[in-house]
Amino acid sequence: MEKEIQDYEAVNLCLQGRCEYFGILVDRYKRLVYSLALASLKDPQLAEDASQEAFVKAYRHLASYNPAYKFSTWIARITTNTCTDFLRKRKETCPIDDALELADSENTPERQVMGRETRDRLKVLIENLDPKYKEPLMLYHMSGMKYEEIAEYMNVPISIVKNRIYRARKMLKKAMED
Amino acid sequence: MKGCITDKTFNRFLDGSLDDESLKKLEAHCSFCESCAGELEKWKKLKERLEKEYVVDVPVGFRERVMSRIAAERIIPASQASGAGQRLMAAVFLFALAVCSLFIPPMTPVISNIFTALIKPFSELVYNALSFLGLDSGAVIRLFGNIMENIGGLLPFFMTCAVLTAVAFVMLIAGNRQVRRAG
Repeated sequence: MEKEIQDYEAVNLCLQGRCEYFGILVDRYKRLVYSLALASLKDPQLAEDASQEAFVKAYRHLASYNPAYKFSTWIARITTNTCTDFLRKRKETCPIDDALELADSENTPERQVMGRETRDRLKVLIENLDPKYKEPLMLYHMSGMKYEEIAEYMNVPISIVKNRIYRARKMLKKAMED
Repeated sequence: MKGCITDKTFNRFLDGSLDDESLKKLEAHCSFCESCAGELEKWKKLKERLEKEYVVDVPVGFRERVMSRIAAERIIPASQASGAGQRLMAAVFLFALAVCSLFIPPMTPVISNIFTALIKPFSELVYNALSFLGLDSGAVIRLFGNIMENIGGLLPFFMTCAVLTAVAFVMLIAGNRQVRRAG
């Protein structure tokens, strides 16, 4: 079986001129980048534009990537900065946690019938969570980031991230029971 | 019940971070404890709903579109990307300017005027404060004048220190901007 190429190896290969290896990084982090952009911009088309732009920026600045940090957190920050620029251009603000509204717009009729009430309730419950709990929960479940990556991205200890996600789930579970 | 599963263990179960032994214990306990079995179901349902709630589908062909854009791009060399060269040049330029301004006579009145304009509001504030307290502001000003007269030879040293501090601030700000840009 072929050995999986590590992020820094892919970066090094790109720096040696083999840009096709950037595709590995795109495959690996497209969900993270797109979900962050979607959460921030709330518009699928704009989110795709921002995601593309984030990857292009990352490619241009690959030489300044520090392998001491995870590639995921580096690209996540580039995405956040790109989205901030996009929002500035649009002259309006869309909070990161309003992405749930957009996910709801993509509901199929089947999904609406099956547990629409539960989904709506969960959505309201998540919206009512304190942002300090909502953000790590979103990064974990929506962007698929690991605890360690979320901690690096949010610049807080991993124990805090674990605790916040745990408390967020506990609050949601309790509210669902009530 | 004694030995029941804690919420933290359920949470770890949800993350898939339980080791084999703990997982076996959990399953064994839930097989006879209805309360814990019910709790486990609730945690599982919550995870399932959260995953459905947060589902995101990346647009089809996204990778290809990114790669076609990449093909037209080039990687900026590290020295250019970090801006270290520009920062060093700016620092050297500012330092040279500062040193020249200290020793070239035509620049002295300009520097003096800027300095006067900067300290004027502060002087007024101090003067008013001393008057308010009933102190002789003239005596304090004379004392300050005497001190300045005696340490006049050190003025270039103080000004150099001030300029170096300003250069350090500029470099720090430039460094922070670079960190933000790189991620």
